[in-house]
Amino acid sequence: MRTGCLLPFAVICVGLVIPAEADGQIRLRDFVITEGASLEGYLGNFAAITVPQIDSTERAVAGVGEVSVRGILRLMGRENQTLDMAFDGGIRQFATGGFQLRNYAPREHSGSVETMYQRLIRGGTLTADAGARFRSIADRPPLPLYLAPGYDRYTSGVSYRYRDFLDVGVEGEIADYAAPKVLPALDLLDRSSLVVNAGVRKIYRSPAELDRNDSWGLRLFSSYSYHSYPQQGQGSTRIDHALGAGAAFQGRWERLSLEFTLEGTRSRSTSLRVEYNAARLSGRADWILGEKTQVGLYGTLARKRFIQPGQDALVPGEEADNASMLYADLTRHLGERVSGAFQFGWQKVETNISGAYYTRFGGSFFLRVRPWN
Amino acid sequence: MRYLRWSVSLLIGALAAAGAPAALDAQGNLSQVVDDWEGRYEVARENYQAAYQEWEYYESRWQQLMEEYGRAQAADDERRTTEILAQLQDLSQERDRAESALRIRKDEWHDASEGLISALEARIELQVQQMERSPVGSNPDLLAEYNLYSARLAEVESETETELGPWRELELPPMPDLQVQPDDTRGEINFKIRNLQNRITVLEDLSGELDAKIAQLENRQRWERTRADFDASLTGFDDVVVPVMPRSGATTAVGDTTAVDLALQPLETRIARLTGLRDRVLERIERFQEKVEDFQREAERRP
Repeated sequence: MRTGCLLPFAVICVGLVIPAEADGQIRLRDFVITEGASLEGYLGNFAAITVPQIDSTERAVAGVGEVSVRGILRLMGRENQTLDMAFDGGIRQFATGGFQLRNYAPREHSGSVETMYQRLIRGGTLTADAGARFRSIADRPPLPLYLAPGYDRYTSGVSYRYRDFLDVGVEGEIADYAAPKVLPALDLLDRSSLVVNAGVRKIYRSPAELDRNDSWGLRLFSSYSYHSYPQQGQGSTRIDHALGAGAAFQGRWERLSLEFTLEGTRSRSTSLRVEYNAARLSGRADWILGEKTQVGLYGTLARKRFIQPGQDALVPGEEADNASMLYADLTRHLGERVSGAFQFGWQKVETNISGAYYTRFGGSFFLRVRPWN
Repeated sequence: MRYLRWSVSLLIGALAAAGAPAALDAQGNLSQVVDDWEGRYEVARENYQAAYQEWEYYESRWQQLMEEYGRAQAADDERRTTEILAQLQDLSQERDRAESALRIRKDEWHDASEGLISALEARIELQVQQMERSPVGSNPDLLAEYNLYSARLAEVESETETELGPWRELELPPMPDLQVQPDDTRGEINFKIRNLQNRITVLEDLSGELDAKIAQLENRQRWERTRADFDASLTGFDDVVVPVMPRSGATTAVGDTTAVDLALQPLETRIARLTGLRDRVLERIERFQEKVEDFQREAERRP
């Protein structure tokens, strides 16, 4: 399945890139190398059937080192159309402590590539994108150190935004969790999705202000999602139909930007036990403190309520009920090409019935270099 | 045109089907956008007209003095010639400043006119859709509104085309070809030196303005990149993937639209363009300074 998906994706990417190369306008828009070190703690008693190892500890710690590279290539840039390719790849190594059986040393590899074509059509913007994301993890540890499983994911979508007030889009996704033989339960997460969304927005700008940078706006959106889980369901594939609606606020001023999104989801399924209603609130703030210092905040609060009581057959870890996250980032620019960032994060994921949870918290330091600025 | 109408129909239909209540108010939204751009257009137009009047005053005064200078030279009136040269010297700096301001205001007015024209076109397009759906003659207000917006569009297009002409990017005016003539007196050469020095002053001001604009864009670029760095640190290894529900694809940002970014060019392109212009300004300053030194040497040799 993995190689089968790779081929059409490669065809799409090559199809997009060939005309751009013929233009001879390929340009590196951004390129950054990141090195990071973290110290993290984990608490909890959450059990996930997709994690083969079980350990009785409820407290663990880890030192983490990582390196990653990412960038954006402009493959074509004309007056009314652009083609960009974004890439990102990294490796992260953990050294853990506190487990009862042994101390694990998980290593994550992650990479993604996405091409995005945009074209202005009568003041509206047509966007077509195709992307692939790959993730693998070796020596995956037991909870409470939850690390997402490896997968291959392919996405493709088309959207159209008409002026500053209407948008509509459709996006397809195939996710393959590539379960090893010893862990067939991971295949339960395989998913094919199709999402259609539409929104209206209103953006306010001061009439006397000619600088377009400052603005604030509100977007109301709704969506329909189709999710198919081919490895789930007894006799017939589990298919979820979800309706979503919400509102998003975004404000942007000279030194501050704010974003808030509130979204509700009503998910119904061919498998009654997984029907649920959910809500999610997320926020983001960025504040320039001075010429060289910037603060970023990110938070999410997600809550889910199942319609049917008793969720023993769910896939714990990948379908928890509630999640709360808070991250703060303090970045200091050390030169034109170098910046350093301290980051602090906390997250808690839990279930409603058994009270099982896991918490992750810690601090990181990142050194980022843009060799070509 | 047919494609656009089809697209708008699809958008409105999709929104209605998706239950977005604000879709019903698309007309009101569009009218608000038009009003918003009308406000910005008026401010930009008034700023341009004020800058034009100021430049026109200095230009007219300059031409008047030049004529008087010609008459004084013809009459061999050395005292009057010297007086006018001094006045020209004072005036040239203000005249060049007014010219620079006029070019900047012209660019701003052009940007605002593009926004207003786009908004009016969108509003008219929606009006046409509504008229097509209504029985003929059932709603005369629709036709009246259509005529109103169409007339305004024609007015704006005509106004900007007449007063602004074809748009071109902010650029340096042609370099004046000031030379020392064999029959130039020391006073005339000194006048040319002062003229060059005034131009250097104006160019230094322009260089300063460009530096400030470049710094502003670079700050914004740094801000955008830092935001992207923060995002990448959270999503690179799926640290913030919420295992509560699959992604819904509804995370489109509200403002700072891609369409606007496309129309304005990416930040790095704008920075590169302004940096190139700043470098040309600095190069011209250097050449003027060399010329001033040459003229000064020449003036010392003249009676």
